[in-house]
Amino acid sequence: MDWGQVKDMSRRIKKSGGPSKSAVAMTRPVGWMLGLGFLAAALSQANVQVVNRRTVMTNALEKGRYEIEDDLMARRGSIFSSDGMIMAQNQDVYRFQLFYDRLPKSPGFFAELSLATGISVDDLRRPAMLGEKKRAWKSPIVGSEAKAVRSLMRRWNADGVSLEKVLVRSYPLGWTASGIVGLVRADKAINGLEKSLDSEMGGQDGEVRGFIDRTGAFMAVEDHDLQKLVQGKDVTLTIDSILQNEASLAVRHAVESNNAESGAAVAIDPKTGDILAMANYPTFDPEGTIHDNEDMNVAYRALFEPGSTFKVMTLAKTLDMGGYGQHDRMQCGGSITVPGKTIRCSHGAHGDIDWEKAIAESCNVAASRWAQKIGTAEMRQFVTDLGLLEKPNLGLPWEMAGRHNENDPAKAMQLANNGFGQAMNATPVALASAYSSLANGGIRMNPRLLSKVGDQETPVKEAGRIFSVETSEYVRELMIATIEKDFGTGKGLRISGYQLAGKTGTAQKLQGGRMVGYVSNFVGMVPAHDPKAVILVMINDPKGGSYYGGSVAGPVFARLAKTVIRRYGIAPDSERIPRGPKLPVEISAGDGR
Amino acid sequence: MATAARNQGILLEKTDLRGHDWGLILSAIALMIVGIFSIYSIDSDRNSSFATRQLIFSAIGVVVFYICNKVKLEFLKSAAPFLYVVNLGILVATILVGKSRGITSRWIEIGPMQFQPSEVTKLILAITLAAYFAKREDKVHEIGTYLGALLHAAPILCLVLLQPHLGATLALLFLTLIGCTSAGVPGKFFPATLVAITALGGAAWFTPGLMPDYMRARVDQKVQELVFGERDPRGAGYQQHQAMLAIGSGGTTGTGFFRGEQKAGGVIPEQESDFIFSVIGEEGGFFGSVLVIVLFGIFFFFVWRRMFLAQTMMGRVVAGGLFAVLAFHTIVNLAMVLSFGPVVGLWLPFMSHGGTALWMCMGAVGFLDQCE
Repeated sequence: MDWGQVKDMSRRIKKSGGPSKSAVAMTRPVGWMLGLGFLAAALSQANVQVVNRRTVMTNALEKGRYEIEDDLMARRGSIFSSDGMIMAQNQDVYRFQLFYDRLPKSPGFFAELSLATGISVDDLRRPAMLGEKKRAWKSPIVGSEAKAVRSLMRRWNADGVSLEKVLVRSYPLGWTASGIVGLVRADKAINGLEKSLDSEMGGQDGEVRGFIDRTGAFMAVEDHDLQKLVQGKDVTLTIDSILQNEASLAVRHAVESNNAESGAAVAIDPKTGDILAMANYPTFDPEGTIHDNEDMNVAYRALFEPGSTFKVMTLAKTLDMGGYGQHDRMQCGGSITVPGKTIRCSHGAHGDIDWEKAIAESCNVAASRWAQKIGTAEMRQFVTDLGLLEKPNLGLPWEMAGRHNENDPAKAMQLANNGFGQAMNATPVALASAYSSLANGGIRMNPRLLSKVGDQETPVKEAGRIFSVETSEYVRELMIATIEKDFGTGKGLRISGYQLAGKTGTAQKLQGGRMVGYVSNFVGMVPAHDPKAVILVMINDPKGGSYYGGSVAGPVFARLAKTVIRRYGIAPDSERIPRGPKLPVEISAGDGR
Repeated sequence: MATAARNQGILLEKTDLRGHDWGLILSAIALMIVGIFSIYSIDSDRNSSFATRQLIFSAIGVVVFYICNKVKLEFLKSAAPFLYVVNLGILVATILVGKSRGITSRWIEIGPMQFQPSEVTKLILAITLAAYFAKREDKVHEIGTYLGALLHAAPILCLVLLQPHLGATLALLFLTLIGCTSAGVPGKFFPATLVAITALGGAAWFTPGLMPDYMRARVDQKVQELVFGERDPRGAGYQQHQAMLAIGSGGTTGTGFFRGEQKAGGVIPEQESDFIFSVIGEEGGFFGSVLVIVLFGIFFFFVWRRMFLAQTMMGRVVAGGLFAVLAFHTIVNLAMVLSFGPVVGLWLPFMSHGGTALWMCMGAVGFLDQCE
């Protein structure tokens, strides 16, 4: 069919006469009008979409009335524990406001709004009846409610509902992890990982230009992206939430019941260097106010003298260097004099002792002698190798490096003191890391707190070999004696079915040469064979009468040790360790006594 | 039917072998397919199932098409008085028991279904008007016949206007006028008619309370915009402004199927129904929209051709009336979406989502196919 045929047809109809003559004449213009209409539509499309596209779009933008610049808030990353518990997370919360002159008056609307928000119909309507123009609700509404409100706004064309996103960060583990996690308040990172990882977790807010539609929703125009939005990274820690919780409770109990100034407990997996728990007390409640120094986490920010616990390190070093042999013995007359000072054992002379007894009964004279064999320069190098003099690089803010005075004028006295962990100081976490080398065949692993930041995994890294395998095994056996032998300072801490290894310490706190208190220490391994965790406990300045490491810090260790066994399902020794020749060191130590 | 055509000696004008105007039917099917895909594209962003519903509507529409194709116009001519009463009946029922959407009552609920009677009205008015002229074939040139035809349509128009549905009323008015034209009413009567309509419209506009506020706002908005270049993007001009942005962002080649961002934003109200063309504008770009416009052109060429092929007064007026109402819908809808007309709630034939509208279109094709 073509135009010719149409003309033919109309001619034929005309010829046939009748009423159709004018009909055809009249309908033709209608057809042309329609065609012109279509042509106009096509031309309009060409104009808007091809020829003047930019102008059309820019005009719309430049009128300014529809255009807004919107900040796209980057989501702040969450912090997770190694077992996947949330330690810090943003909540979707919205501030809810009504502008009554732009709301439907229908009771049905308010009924639905009440259902969506959980605010009573009366509360929603009263301000309007009192003639108020707007009302803001103090307590925010949560994400799901906001979603319901938005759909309601669309259905009712309710312009007068305002939902403003508010940053609320929740810390489900509360005070038990606040010393690590830290705090963001009023959009400002205050301390902990929240502060040190602020830029990673905070992301980068984006800025876009676009339009606001009738429902108040934002519509971006791709061509005009001003600043790309980068979401904050999630952070996963090596911390185990159960151990962390238990450690915090145990430290708090120890601090409170011993009327101590502060306390800390650190648990490290010796094979990886992963910090499984790092508790401190006093600390702060992320929801409450921070008093005094509560935000100062003593576990990584305070320096303490390691005290007697360090004797095991001195012994291991002197054995490795050949200063003494494993089977040597020594006479303890109760004191030893070095230039400038006489060093005494706290419970009088030990007499003829072997190393097991020297450790188990914590002999200062023996420790000084071991140190003397090591020598000043070697001791300095040793303390450095243990990582005590550097920041542990955990990713926390304000990390501290330990101190050891290289230019001490009384070098001989310093060296003898170093033997039993004095005249030097370090943070509990650094000490825990140093001791963990004894549980890992003499190799110290770099301590690790962040296992993952965003997609970036923190590698497990060796810090270096500190002791030979043999020495570390031997010293570990001596530490078993501290708990398992009845003359040991930690004999009260046994757990039936499991051998533990440990060393107590009771360091004196000196201020201007005067003794102002004690620091009770305990370092131990759970279990003694193939340890899953090395645990260091420090209770600072207990004033409750008792101050010995075994009775003040020891119970914290015991409680944590039980938790480690439960948490990791460690089977009793009898099921794990074949009896007999597997433990030659213990046999030889036993023989020597 | 084919036999009848052969007997009348116009078989050569038929484009098919089996008695159907396949050009007409296929172009309508093509438009429906484009429509369903555009609706499906909206669904893909919204967890809605408009496309599935539209597919079901089309399936039911095939039945509607079949009935309208098989029931002879000659039979309907004899049933015209009855149909006229039915027409008035459903319009009165709509106003009395109709379902309100927003501020207008245009819907009737029948069981689980909602039904917009003004669409059926369009089909019935085309038939009753054709019957009116068919009974007065020899008096078509008289002014009395013409005025009678206007009187015939007036009650229907008034009832639709009362719903209120200005768009449908204008569509029916256009149907009536083109129906009269194709019946052979002399052209000299029309200028006076236009003056009368303008006067009536003007009176309605300036009589307070006669027009609903929303209608006034929309027309006022358009006039303001056209005369003063003013726009209120959050008020009455909102939909058009958003549509313009969508179409503009489509550019020459479009964003591609499923990729429309303005569409994805869901910022154009009623996009699946009245504003469906904005999806084509955005995702299909200039080429896509022109293709669809050309498709409409082809369809209307075939519709228009039916007026010439129709041998009876009945067929010619039905064809003219249906041509008018479909063309009116198409042009006014496109003008609305492309921002050179006011926002009038008129769907785009075959493409907008909606059962009654689709059935009206498919029924119209059924009638047109038998007009000869």
